[in-house]
Amino acid sequence: MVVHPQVVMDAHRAGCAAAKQGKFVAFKDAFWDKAFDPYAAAREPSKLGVDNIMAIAKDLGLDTAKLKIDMEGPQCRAQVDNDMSELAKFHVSGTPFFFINGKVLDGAQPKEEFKKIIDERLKVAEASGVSGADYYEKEVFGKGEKQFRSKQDPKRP
Amino acid sequence: MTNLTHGALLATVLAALGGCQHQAQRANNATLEQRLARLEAAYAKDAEALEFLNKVYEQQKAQQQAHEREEPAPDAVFAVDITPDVKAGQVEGSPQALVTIVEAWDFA
Repeated sequence: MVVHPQVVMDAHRAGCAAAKQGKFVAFKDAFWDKAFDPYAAAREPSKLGVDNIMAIAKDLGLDTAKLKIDMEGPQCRAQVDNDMSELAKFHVSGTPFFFINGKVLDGAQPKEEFKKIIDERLKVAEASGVSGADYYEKEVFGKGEKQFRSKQDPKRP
Repeated sequence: MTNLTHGALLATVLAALGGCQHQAQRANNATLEQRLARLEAAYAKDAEALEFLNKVYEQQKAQQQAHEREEPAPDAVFAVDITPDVKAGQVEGSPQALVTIVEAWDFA
């Protein structure tokens, strides 16, 4: 989800490119620590820029030449755009924002709020008898609501 | 004094009294008019304030309704398509997990 495209679009595309080398999670975590934190401390946009992205990627042992090509390639551009379109469909306009087995948790909430929803969704999932490997696809994506519904809208049949 | 003089004096007193009453009536009327004008001015001012408050209330109501239109239904389970992200490897945790959390975050 890109809320500030002018400063972080490269970082999101780099995440996509890092995933192509099997290091999405490592890149994401390193970016928070080595790019976002210094950026937030000094409000220095260059910390989110391509030079720092490449430095982080190099430290992680990524092929930086390939990373740069993938970042600028059509697949990663489309990937980030698709993510944004998908989230816009459900009226996500700010971050952080979470769907826990399809249930919305909006904003930086306390751990207890996460636990409450996770426990509730886990009970439902366990009662369904569907395996974990299939649960999201069959029960959440398969039976969930395909469009946003607000608290003012009646439930669709 | 003669009767004629008494009569003239009485007429003068009555005329004077009549004049006083008329003046008092006029004064009363002027006061009423002034009070009415003040009341009308106060009413107009209150009506203006009330109209302003009504506008503010309508605006706030519209904002509240707009906000509620953007709040997801608490019972909704949304079918977010995560297939492309999973295929692309933008995922962490066990693929056997019964609970999937879709995170929307921005690096800024």
